[in-house]
Amino acid sequence: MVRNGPGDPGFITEVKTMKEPGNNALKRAINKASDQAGPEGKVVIDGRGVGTIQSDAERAFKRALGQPGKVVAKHVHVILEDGSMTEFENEQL
Amino acid sequence: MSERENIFVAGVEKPSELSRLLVARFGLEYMRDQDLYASEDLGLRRRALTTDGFVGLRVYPNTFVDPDAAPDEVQAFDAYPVQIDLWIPRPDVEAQEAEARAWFDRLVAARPDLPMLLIHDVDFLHAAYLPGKPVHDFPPGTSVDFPDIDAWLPWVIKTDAMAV
Repeated sequence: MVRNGPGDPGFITEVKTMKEPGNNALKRAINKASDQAGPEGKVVIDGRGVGTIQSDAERAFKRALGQPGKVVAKHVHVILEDGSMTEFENEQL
Repeated sequence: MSERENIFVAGVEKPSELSRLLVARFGLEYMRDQDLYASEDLGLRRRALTTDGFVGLRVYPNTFVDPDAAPDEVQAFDAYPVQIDLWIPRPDVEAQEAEARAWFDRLVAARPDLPMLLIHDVDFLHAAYLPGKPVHDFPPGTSVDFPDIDAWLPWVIKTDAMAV
């Protein structure tokens, strides 16, 4: 559970570090972490070690959203290879 | 530890077919509060085979297949309709992998007519079984994804996308 301040009820947050590169692996990481965090949770995927770039994250998030049988968490964050973080919100929820 | 081991199974359409086998042959028991007559997402548990404590199994449809995947986005398990996730409570990956291998070998022995894959955390192939062939073990780090397709294609059930 991660809280941003005393008044914040917090989010269940699932953090995953990628071990292999590729769009499939990033999509699966988003789906797996979302399964564990739940729809109202927060997902953080660390893609620094496998060379993840912005376009990878955008495509993987879009594919994860369209994955039959899966629900993507409300908030998804991906740490890119340069250390910056890109954020996505599941507006289907 | 949130990583899990996976056994993907072909030749059965419904997870409940497999869960009934696991209960009848291996003494697993259903976790509480499940609709055993309607659900196709089933939790099972029993004492672990290779380590102390319990092992948990979730038997459910393979929900990682992308029907719109590009040809270079195929995955080794795309033609396997049923998935088993397996975990032990302790944060010990090696023990969890050993437990999963024991269950994979028992399932192959019990149902040699069913193709199966043993995978770590839906990312890395450990072993594959096709009826009529011995179990094939993959080198460590073999991905389920396209870059390693030459390593796994001879050992998996193929989708139309893989045949192209």
